[in-house]
Amino acid sequence: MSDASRTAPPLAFPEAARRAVANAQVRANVRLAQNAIRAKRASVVGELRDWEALRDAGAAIKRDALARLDELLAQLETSVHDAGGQVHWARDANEANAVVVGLVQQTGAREVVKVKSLLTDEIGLNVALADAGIEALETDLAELICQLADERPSHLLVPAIHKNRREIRDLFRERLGRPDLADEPGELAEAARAHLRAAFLRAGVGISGANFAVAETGTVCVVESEGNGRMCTSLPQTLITVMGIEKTIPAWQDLEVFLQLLPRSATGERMNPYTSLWTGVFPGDGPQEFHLVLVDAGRTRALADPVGRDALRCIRCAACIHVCPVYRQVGGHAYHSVYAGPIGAILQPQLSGERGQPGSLPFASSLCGACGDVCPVRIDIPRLLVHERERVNAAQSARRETVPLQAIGRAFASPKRYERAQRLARALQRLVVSDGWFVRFPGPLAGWGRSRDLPAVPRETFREWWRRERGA
Amino acid sequence: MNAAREEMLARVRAATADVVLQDLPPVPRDYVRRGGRSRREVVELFSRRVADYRAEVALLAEKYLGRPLKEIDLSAMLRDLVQGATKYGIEIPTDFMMVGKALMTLEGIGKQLDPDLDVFGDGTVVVKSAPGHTPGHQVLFVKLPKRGPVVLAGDLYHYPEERATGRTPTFEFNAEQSAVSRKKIEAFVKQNKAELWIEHDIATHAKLPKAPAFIE
Repeated sequence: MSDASRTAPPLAFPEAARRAVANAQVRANVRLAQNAIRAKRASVVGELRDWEALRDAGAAIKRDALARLDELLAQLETSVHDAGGQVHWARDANEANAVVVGLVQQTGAREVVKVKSLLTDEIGLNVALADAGIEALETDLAELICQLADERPSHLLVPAIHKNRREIRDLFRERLGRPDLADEPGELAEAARAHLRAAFLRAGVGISGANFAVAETGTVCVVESEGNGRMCTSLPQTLITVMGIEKTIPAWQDLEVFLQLLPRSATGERMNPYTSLWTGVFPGDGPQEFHLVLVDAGRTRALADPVGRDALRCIRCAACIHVCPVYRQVGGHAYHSVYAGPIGAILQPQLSGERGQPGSLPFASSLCGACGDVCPVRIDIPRLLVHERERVNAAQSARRETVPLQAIGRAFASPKRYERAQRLARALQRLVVSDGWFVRFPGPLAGWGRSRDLPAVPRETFREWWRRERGA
Repeated sequence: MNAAREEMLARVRAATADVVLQDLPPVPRDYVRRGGRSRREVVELFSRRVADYRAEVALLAEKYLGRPLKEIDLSAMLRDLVQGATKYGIEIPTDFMMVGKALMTLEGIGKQLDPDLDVFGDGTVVVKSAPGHTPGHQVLFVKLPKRGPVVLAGDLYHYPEERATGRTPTFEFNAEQSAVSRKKIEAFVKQNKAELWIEHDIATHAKLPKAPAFIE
């Protein structure tokens, strides 16, 4: 694991985007993948006549769960405990990493197998494990590719979306010691499978994230495509699940909603190939020790914002990413966050607590609204993006913008002041007006005006004409 | 660790202090619910649709029962079963599903290991692979309680003389394969002390009882 590439200080989005846009290969890969997944999603979502009702239910279940999260977390703890598991609490990334490292050390294992998990990426668990001398092996094929390449995943679901098979073949030839490999997908998958299978059978500890955790039963749910997650959660003696507290749902029945919403929204499948559900431990079968680590790491801060908390409903399907015109051009790396795309532009500042600058992630959107239309839990993403922008701006106290805007606000608030402003503008506008339109703006407004059309103040306004013709 | 627990719960409570739970609208569940019927509802529904159900079972049986393993797409079969069960509100026991899944996983291996299917698992009805005349040609072995073991030759032979001459029709899909299959089935017939009925042979056909008569 390369600490350097995963924890390098992030470039500001505009600069990162400029670099990403210059990479034609990445753009071509992303465009292809986006087209394919987008079309698949649209077709399988179109099959369900109750899709909108499912979205309503999904949104409401999550809203309800977040509103009484304290109660549900306590219930989840009890349920897991009753089923023979242990629950641990972690306020931030460091605490979560310390808990997991401690648990692994207790088993004496020097190596763990990992299910693809965004949260463990977010908190940098692999680095923490490496620092403690524990090797973490990513078992999701695409995550494995990123790990071997010392790169960050560039997409929530398709982490190696930025790499094509020739690049992967070269990587495997070098890192898996298989100089004979061709760039055949089947052969590449087989090489990875051989590499991983040995590790599954050897590893004493598996680490997973969670898509959902059912408070009522203590059941954890992980959905996946490859079956590697099933291996990690069933073969090792000890299983450690690290989950964000917002993944808690109240009841078993709620899974009937989310297990329809998630696969169709995510990979465009009616059902994902593997859905693993486990409840504590079962004597004689599967892991005999189960630990659930509940992680805050910024969730409660996001929850405290009455508008922003809606983003915690996110089930990480990436449907918003697949329709985003900005993501299409810049790819995932430009976001410099585990969570890319429209929802990432909200979650990243929320969870990290970094407000950022104007031009930071919440501004990386054209607000076209496609993301909100596809969100399976009806997060109003454009609205939340604007909300995050407001928070950035408020923190900036951008006087250059607010002072003139306040002045304009005052002028527009009274007819008398408005007309006075018009007369003033008419006297001054001569230099910058041509053919009845403002063509250039002076000084700092130049950039603002380049993309905007503003009609000039006419020689005689309607009000002036009215007074002249009809008298005051 | 306990401190973390208390602090996190306190943070959650503080963060959601503005939410009045009673004001939250109830979760709308207007989506189509598959299953979720009470037992009584299931029984009522079933009694109304029992004829349809029988027809559907018959269809499935025709599609799969007695077929050699290699002709069955197990994942399609499982899908058919689940769809049928869902339609009539029938619960499928978890263990049964696990067996189905295991079969699916093993499908490839199973087909390699034993393309001959013992239908009831007791050796009374066995579908035997005998390709050659057609790529998927089979013969059927039945152990009749009174008459004893019988092999229905299908198109393995068309005339009893072929058993001696070894000749095959000119339109055989693969004559070499036929020769191998004939050898295999002859050995099987001998081993089981079975009769071999060549249904194409007019003399054999004449001796067999015609429906509604039957052989026990």
